Amino acid sequence: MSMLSKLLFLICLVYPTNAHAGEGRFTLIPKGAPVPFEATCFDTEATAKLLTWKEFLKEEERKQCDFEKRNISLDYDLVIENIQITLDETKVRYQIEIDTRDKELEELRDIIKKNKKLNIPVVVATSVAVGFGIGFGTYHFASK
Amino acid sequence: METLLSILGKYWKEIAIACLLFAVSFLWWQDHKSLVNAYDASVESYEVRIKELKESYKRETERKEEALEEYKEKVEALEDEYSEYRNSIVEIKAERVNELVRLRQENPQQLISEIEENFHFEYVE
Repeated sequence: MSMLSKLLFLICLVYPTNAHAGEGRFTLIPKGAPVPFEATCFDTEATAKLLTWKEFLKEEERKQCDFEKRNISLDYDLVIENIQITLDETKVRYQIEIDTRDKELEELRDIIKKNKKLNIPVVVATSVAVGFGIGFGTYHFASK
Repeated sequence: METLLSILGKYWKEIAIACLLFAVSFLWWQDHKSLVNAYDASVESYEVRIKELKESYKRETERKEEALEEYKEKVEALEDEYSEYRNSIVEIKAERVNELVRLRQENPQQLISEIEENFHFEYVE
């Protein structure tokens, strides 16, 4: 036996799992074969896989469920955060509208207040009276 | 002085009309000024409003983009975590399969027990 063959044989002994690297096999055994009933026969690999599948099924499902739950939770968090941002900024915009309108109204009130101080009919009447007064006064003094 | 008085006496009507015109012009000017001021106040108010509204919309967009980026990072981290788990579980399962294969050869009775325990199957000799 060559050195290489010995080495390969040794590797196979050290790592026996390599010998079971297949996908697993099974066969259907009819009634009357050397088993007491109609059967489905799984080889060791397939049986080990079935057992492993069963053992980890619950944990895997739980983990997947947790993942989906957290994913959905993140989706809803984003939706809620967006709504909150819209709400905050709508409040800010509302306040801006109110403040600027208040300021505008204040300025308009000031303008109206200033205008109210000047009563045009009174001013016209006063001007006419003053004009007549000056005229008559001057005429009176000039006549003297 | 007397000359001035005589002029005033002679032209008092014209002077009165001039004073009246001046007063009316002054008032008209003031009224116009008020209207211009009101218009300016409105324009200024609109400008301030538009500027602040623009800032608000910009801020809203920025905050939403930031939230979206944060969401993407979180989703990516979650997917990485899950993917890591999937990879690790594949390895663990492979190890377990090997272990069961060895068990079949080394301790078949225990394998039978495990099958019975997991699937509640009855073992038949």
